[in-house]
Amino acid sequence: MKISCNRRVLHEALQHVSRVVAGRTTLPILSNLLLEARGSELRVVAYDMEIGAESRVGIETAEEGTLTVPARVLGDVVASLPDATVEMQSEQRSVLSLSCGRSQYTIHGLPAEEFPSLPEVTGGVSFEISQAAMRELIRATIFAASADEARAILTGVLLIRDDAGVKMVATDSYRLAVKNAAVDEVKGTGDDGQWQAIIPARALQELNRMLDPGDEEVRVGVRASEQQIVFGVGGYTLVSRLIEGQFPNYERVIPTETERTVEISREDLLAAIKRAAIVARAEASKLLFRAQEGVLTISAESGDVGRAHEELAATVEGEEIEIAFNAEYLTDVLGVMESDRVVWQFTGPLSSGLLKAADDPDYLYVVMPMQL
Amino acid sequence: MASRIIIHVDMDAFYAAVEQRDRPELRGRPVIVGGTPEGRGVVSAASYEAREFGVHSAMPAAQAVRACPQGAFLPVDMRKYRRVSEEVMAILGLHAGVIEQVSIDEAFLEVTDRARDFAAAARIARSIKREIRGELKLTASVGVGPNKFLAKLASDLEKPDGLVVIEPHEAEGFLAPLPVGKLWGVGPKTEKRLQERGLKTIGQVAGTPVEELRKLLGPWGDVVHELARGIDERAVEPVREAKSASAEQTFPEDLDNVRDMRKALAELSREVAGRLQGEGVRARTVAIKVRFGDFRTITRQTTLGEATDQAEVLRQTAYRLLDGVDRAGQGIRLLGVRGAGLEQALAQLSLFDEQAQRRGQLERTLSYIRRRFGPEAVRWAREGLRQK
Repeated sequence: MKISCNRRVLHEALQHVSRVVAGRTTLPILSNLLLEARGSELRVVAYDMEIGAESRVGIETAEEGTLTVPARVLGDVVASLPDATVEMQSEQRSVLSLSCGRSQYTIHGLPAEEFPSLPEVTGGVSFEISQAAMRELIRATIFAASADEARAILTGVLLIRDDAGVKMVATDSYRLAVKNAAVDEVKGTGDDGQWQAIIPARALQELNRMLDPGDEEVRVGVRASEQQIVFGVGGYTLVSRLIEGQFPNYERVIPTETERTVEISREDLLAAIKRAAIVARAEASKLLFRAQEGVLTISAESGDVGRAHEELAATVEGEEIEIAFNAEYLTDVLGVMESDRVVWQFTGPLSSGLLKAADDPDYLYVVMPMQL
Repeated sequence: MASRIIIHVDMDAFYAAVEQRDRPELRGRPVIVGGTPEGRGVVSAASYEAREFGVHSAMPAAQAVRACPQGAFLPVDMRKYRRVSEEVMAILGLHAGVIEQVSIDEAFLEVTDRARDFAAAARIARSIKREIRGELKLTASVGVGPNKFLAKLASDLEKPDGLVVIEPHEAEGFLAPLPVGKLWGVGPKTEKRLQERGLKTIGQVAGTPVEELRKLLGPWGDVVHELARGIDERAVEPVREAKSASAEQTFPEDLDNVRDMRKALAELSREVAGRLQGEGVRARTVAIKVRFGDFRTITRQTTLGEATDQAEVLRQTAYRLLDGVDRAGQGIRLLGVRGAGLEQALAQLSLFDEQAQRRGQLERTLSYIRRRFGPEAVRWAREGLRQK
């Protein structure tokens, strides 16, 4: 292999994939990046056997070829080089020699043949969606996925594709976020009828970093087989294993009728919750909400710390209610919503609360209270 | 070297005493907590009045009803006992730097650094008793000794409302005439083996060469020998989190049909669930213990997808585990249910928790009724009581 390329372009490509590189692994080569020069393109690939990422950039190729080098070393070197042309050349089968201006490095790697190839995803379902819509889907749901590895299914986000469009659902069993993308954003070329898959939240997090919501030209291509899903956007590809198993029946836990409705300024509510949560830190972030006519009060009390009391103007319909929630479950979602006002609906102090952005019918959030 | 000084505090008939304190009409009457007047369940605690009728904890309620039909049978209110227990432990915390809470109503206090001698420790013990009585209107039996074993033995000697001090030089005299069953860790099985060798009192065990005890009991023989001589080096270790919650029952007659076994498991599951809820924890692992007629004992366990404190989940799991046991036609003498792998139960309710959903359903139904028939149409029983 013998190539030359722009330092900034190379740096970007390395950054795009490097977070996928396996941290601790029994297979040393998974700590490496695969570099492959073919024609006028360099492929940079990272794969930890669950998620794989590939970035393609334009180069000048004097000699095609491929090898792998430690991701950290190459990434750190390229990150600190001056902006100039980078020349890279393989020596033997596993040593990379790199020069840029008056800097010269050789980096010891491993032969490319040992690097596992990314899974091929053929057949199955495929569709396209705008980067902006995909980003909204991810942003609105991913935070509600569980971080508990023992509950593998809940560490994923459910992706549903049907005639109505595309939907993402995430829950850690205490709260649930459901986001729809309007049908005109989707171009389906796959099977008819409904299809769904559970995607590791980590994969979507990686994909999200790659999206440019302002780019209306380039759309995200999605293709899924039984076990794998692949996302392609521009010169970037992300492949992920799907999580097997049955996602909980989320529709059942969405309240259909509620007794009391509170409509309130989103920013005011978020700010008040964040303040009151300071006091509630030692108490599992438990905040007490009381909705009365025209007023929502938020209070927190901690034996060691002290008390918090907040009053907010709100439009309250229905009987007075007192209910407790974990502050974090609310700040998460209020931070993601963008509307000026939110509508919060309750049935009783032990029933779930339903939170919606006043002007976004495509997003809903269900959160279970804490015991009073 | 100066002796260690340790205090053991044991609340008297704790659950029953709390109920009698809170409900004056029960004072002086036999009170039996756990089990119903219809004779279902197992006795968790009996007041001293009830003990006079021969009622004791772990006794099947049916038997307790026969022994003491005039008794007041109350359900177990773990949350309340837990709260009172915290108040007791708070008082104890003022009197010792290191406390080891052994159970909901029992704790060891390390007072070596606070009491110059046993007389000073006895004064601490009296203050503790006075404060528990004054602030909580409950009585405790307190023992003072040079180690945990003797302190616990001392607290037991003059129950209820007792205070006994065993100084190091008195230890041997105290111990010698006591039956070997009083030795810590010597249960009916070991006791029987010791008695078969003619070792009926602790004094006889102390006088037996350790090699002989080792031959009889294995490595445990060393411990028994030391305890019998009043030696116990175990430290008072600060409160540790409970690691499991369990309940077991020995049956008057061996069970040989599955229906009875399931009935017992259901009962035990309820008891374990009550304990878990009282402690505010959930179990991720559920185990059953099965002892056959020939004393062969086995355990079976499984790990749940989601930790639970629900009797229903424990029961179903216990049934499943029992189904996996090859009984080979044998009768069952004892069954136990145990929840382990405990995690802090969140006050946070779960979306997919069936019980939470049912509570939610109930709330929706109630609010529908109120909407239709007016706010007074239906009320919680506890609200009704409060208003009376």
